[in-house]
Amino acid sequence: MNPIIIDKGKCTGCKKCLEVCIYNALEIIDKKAVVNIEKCTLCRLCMNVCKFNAISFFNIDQGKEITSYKGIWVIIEYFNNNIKNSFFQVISKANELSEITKEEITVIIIGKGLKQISNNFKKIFSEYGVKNIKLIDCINIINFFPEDIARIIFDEIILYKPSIVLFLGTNFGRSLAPRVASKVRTGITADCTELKISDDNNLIQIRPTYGGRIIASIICPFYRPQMASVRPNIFEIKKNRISMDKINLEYKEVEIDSIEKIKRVISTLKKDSKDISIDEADIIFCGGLGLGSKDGFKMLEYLANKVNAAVGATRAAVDKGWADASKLIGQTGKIIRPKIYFGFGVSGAIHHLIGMKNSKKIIAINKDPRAPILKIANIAIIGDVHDILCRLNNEL
Amino acid sequence: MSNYFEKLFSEFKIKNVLLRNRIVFLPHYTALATMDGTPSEKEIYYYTERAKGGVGLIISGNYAVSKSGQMHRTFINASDQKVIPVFSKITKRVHNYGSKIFGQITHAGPTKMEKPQSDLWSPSQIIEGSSGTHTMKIDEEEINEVKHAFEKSSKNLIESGFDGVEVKIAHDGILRAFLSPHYNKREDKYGGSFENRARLSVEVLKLIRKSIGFEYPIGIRLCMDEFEDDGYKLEDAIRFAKYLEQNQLIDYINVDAGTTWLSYIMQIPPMSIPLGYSEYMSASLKRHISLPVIAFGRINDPVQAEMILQNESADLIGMARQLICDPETPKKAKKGDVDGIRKCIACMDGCVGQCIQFQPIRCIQNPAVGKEKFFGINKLKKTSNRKRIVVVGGGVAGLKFSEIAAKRGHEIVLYEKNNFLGGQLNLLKKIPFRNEFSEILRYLEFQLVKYKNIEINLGFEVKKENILAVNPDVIIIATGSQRYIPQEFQALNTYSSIEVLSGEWNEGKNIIIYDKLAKNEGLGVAEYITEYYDNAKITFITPANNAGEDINFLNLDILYRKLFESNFKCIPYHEILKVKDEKLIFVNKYSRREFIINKYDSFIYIGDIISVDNLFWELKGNAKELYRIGDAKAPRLVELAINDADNLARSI
Amino acid sequence: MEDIIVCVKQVPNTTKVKLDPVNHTILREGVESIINPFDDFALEEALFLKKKFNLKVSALTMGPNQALEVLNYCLSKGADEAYLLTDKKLAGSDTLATARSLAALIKKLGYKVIFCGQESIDSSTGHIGPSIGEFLNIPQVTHIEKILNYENEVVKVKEKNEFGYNIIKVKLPAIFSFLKSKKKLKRGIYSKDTKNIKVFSLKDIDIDENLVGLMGSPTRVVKIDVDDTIDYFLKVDSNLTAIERIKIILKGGIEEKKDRLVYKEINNTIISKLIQIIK
Repeated sequence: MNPIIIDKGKCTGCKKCLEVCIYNALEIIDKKAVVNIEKCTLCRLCMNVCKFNAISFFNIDQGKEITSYKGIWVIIEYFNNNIKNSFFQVISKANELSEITKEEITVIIIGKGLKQISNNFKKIFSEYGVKNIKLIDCINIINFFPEDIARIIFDEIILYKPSIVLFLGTNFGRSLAPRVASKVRTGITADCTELKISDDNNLIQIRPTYGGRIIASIICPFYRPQMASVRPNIFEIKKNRISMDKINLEYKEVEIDSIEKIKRVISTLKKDSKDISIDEADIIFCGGLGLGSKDGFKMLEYLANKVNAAVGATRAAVDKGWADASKLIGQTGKIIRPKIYFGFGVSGAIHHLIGMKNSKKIIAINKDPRAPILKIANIAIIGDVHDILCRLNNEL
Repeated sequence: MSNYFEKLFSEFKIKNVLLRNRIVFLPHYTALATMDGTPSEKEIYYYTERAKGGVGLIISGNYAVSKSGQMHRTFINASDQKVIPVFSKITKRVHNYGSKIFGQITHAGPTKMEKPQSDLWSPSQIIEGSSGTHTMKIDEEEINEVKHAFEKSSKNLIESGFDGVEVKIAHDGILRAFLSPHYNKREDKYGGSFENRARLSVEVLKLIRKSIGFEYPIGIRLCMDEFEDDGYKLEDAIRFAKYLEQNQLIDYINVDAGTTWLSYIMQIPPMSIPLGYSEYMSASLKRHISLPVIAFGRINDPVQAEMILQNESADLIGMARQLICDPETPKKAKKGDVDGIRKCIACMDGCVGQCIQFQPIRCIQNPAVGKEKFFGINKLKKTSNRKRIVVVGGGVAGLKFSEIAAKRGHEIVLYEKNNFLGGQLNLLKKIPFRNEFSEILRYLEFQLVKYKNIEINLGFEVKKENILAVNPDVIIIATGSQRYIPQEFQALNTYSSIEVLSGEWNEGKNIIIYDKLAKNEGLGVAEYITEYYDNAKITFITPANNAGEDINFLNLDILYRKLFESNFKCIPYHEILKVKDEKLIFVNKYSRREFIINKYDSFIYIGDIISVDNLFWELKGNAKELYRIGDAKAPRLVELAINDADNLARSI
Repeated sequence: MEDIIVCVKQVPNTTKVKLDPVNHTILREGVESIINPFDDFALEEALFLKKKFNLKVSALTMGPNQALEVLNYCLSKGADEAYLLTDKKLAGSDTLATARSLAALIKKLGYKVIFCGQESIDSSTGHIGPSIGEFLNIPQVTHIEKILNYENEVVKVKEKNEFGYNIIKVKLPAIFSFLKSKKKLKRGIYSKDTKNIKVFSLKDIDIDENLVGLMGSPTRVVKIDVDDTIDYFLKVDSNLTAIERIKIILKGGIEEKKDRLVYKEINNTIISKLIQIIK
């Protein structure tokens, strides 16, 4: 069936619709625009540009009234008695979207034993412009599984009809989000690196494809809620303080007929820190010539292990045999982008700087005040490397 | 052994030419031809050596298409039939070793190296920046001559067995000059609009295609950014490339940048330019065309090369100097011996420094360059008479000697007075524009570790008795040199460059540098101070006619860019007369008028260097074979130290 | 009833895919199609179980006719059956519509164990596994490194997460998504043979045509662009003057940080600040 109608009476053959159609689905026949159904994807870009309102869409009735869905939700995992920093990145982005859609932000916090700390949540989220907090306390849960949590979120969505639901792209989030979307029978976009609101109030979900080289912009025009999972460490955290009394807090206890009967976690193995590759690590401790010896390097590795940081090395350290070549950070080694980079006794030859300059935060410790790395560090400490390592070791 | 560099060693096809890997030996002038531009036997061995070393594609070149197109009479004229026999030998030998070879042809246009520059063929009459000479605006007849010269030369190349032809529209040459709005102000069909400026290149490419047929690839070396304000930029180059692609005129693009005026350093980047700096150029190009792209620009490491390929920034990796320095780079990379690759440090002294003076190409780290017939791969003969050799001094000369002699099978006992090897290299590398000299040390140290027949004694200042006690057959004195400040120039705060680089000086703000030699050391120390001492004010006094007069002009460019950004003033033409009561008295060498500096914080005297060779004189008459190499012989450059060492080690 | 169903996808070799800069469409000419590498690992695990427990392995894919090439690849590696779900009306499916269609066919075939790759290298959503799980109402385990055990209708797997690993036991039926492992894969053979492929079209599966293909896909791609923020370290803005461009290159694209904090000596406040940052 043909859901696109071009009113020949209104169409002037101006070809604006042809210009925006990226699927080459429009052509001019007898001076009027004609659509090729095989190629058309119903994206409606043409409808948006037609000044003469000649293009319209046959309304596909989903049994849902899209305009009745309101609100931006962010799903928060509270599994280990803490909220990962990255969730606040999502909330910050939600604030940006909220400015345009004028809809309120609700965080849905899934966890266990939430009653006692419910006031803390008000305080925390008051910093981020969140007007509504829903605490979902899974009181008898043993492990958090997507199958169970999806059901909980589904129930909330059916009741409260949000327009947008955002997930953080943790491993859990990435297996939860599609489960929820499939349950609700709505669209979902994974791994978004940008979110915007279009002129007709749709959420534009932007994400990399084809190995990251091609960026796609996606919308979900006829279904609600619009769902997206967000890639961690892309969005900046921005505060938006509101008064705590403006916040609605709702607390709900849920007993789940859990999937524990069918699926169980038998044991958990902690990752061997040696396994952390510098490509993926959030924190990198990099050692340079200033460490003085292989023993100095070993102390660095010991400390890194304690905090789950990966260990990197400069060319000089690798050449001296203090570290393996796989740890080399630099133009002829690896180019890294961790959240935090620590340079212990690294002077900062340009090849190394090029390799690590994209780190979000750079902390450099060197006793030579003229070490080039100190100029590009966010925090530069002129002091003895061993002193700092000892003291950090004692505290951690 | 699995493949270390998956993409780098994957095959690639340019049109029908199958390359065994992605490494390309980029075209460059070698000055190995005879004085009248006849290709010599040296060229044959030069290119064969790189094919032996495992490169995928050689593009030999900078061949002129006509007499008027020669930058200098030592540039080979590819339109002359006499080149065909030697060229045929080159292609045959290169093919024998499994590599493919293209020939690059160009017309010098407004860039001539003979002084005084004459007949600078150009689209318009301008003052050519690098020579300060007026160019000649060529007429229709001369344009046709250029076109047919390209046509004829390409035919000769194919007849000589080349697998393809590359046309130079790069940092020099008439074709880029026509493309450039800086050079081309014509008002006929060859000037003005984009299509007009591109017209000559298009016509040349069409003629070549007609002349050599469709089966041979034709590519261009394209300058991607002239780095001149009224020249063309990256976007324009990409537009040109797309235009050529759409008209199916070319089969690949070899990327290049800069021009011979304000941006020399972009075309043959010296040490101060970061490795792989031009990746963004080939990457941007690749986003707009689907033809193969060759990257360039200080790519000297297989890890770096692989990353560039993985990033999809290019299809092929171009290396010129890296393969000059270590022709076996592909072989070594393929078997994973990355540390064993001797990396080019872009010092500019051996290769470019020589060719610019029309001297045969050399490399400071690779004494075999230009002499591959005698010193190339597999030419090192093992000794039949194993000797015990004592080497005194673990600096560049001592290490190089030990490397070669040990490879040949001799027994080496090395003594070094410091707790570390490298000698003066350890200070030299502190100078920013010489910082990669540490690579020379790294490579040599790595080589030494491989041999069981080398004994290294660190921290031992050896004496005559110690040496003789070991009963050596040969003694090599490689004890280097030291700085010397004559008594009459010593004031309270006088320092040598060694003291400055070691940090053993009271810097202060007001610094006077006296550079007697006008070579790398003077401006090098100035650069070091500028880099690390933020408040320093430098007054640089030299008897030369300008600061660092004898420094290779490419390095000088970098130094000037840096120094004039900071507080640096130069007073040339002045010699130092004496230092009296802490006052520095200089005199203009022409007028003999005096110039006195009363107030300053530090005075750095750069000039006298003397060999440390006492052991040599002491041991004379006491040793069977006694030699001195490197600075111990006479203070000179790193290249000569390595040459001394290499020559001697091969002959012992 | 199938023993093990492995869902596979034919994808372009993404490293070679380009964007047409004029039309903003994906150019696939000359780009070879391969099996999604993650699916290949899932297949390897399935074949391992086949050997060990004497199970039947069936490969299943949804796509245009050309997709049978990857099914033949699976057969050449040792799969026993190959199913192709193909229909013009399925074109343009997003992950919801795809999962729905696949689930419908899997339901028809009968299932116990379903394997698939964690994600595909072209769209990398990682949605198919969980979505199929939802449509069939069966448990899922994702990010699997390997199968540890399989007996008595219970499968034990090693699941990777941000902190390390979980060992999980699941009662069948269930769906499993596999990560790429460090193992070297055996190579299969692609061919255009049709004889061993069982073909299903839309009418063979019980599903409303409005719920599949473009009509059944809630999400739409409205724009595609080349990623301009690629990793090479130096990007030089052409709008700067020539000298400024050279300056940037000389510095390696590295800029001094203007708002940096400099501490000239170490004391306890600094240490605690550092520790705070680490946490």
